[in-house]
Amino acid sequence: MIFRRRRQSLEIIIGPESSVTGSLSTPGVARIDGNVEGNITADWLIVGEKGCLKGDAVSRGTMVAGRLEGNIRANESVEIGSKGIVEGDIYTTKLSISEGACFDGHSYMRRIVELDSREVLPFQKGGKQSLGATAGSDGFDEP
Amino acid sequence: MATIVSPTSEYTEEKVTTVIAEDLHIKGSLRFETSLMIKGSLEGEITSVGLLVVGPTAKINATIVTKRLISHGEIQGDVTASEQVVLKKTATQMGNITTQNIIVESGSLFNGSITMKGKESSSR
Repeated sequence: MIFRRRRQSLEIIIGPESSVTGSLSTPGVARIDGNVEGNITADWLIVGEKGCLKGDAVSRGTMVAGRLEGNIRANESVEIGSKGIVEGDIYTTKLSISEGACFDGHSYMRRIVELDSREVLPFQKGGKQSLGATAGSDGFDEP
Repeated sequence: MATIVSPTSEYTEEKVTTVIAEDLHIKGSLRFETSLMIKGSLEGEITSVGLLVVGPTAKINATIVTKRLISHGEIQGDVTASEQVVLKKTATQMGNITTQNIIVESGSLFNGSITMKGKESSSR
């Protein structure tokens, strides 16, 4: 499954039937299986099949199997699963929409990573290795 | 939705009625009913009730109204497909899409908005 690809640091999990209102931010992976109202900033964002996010998502990669109402800004990729629903605009370099998915909005794509990574991933704190400090996609790969 | 093609099925030249070859450049409006594959370039408009296959070498600058579109090539212009739009991994689409069912493969380039009608998106 595409949603099992990166599990190294699952930092935020909003379980099913849980609700959160407010903004969330993590340098790791966020998985939403419940309801979230607010913006999310994460390295990778996964919206599970029962998950529902109302707000903007900023990440390196976003995978939507559930529902997302808001804009998605992802440096590397956006994947919408076959039951995924996205209502909002998508800014990314790699977009994949499965059959059966629903996408209502505008797609803004560029062939190469031109998006300002510091703006996209504001995790630069102190001496900590920033996920988006290096320009280009190579700087993102962490062990 | 049984009539919708699976994303893996490929349309070769033998399966389509008309093929516009790579060295053919057309300006004007095109109308067809069954199936058409474009490998050359076209400027103008395309109206059909069938299947339009855009080959990887094709360059199209047109408003497209069709039933089903499978694109491997470059399209500039708005697309309205009553059944399905498939953007393969080599496809470039600059323009808006109106359809019921869409498949976008990773690697394709798409700038424009998608309007999906006939799908109840508020039922969850």
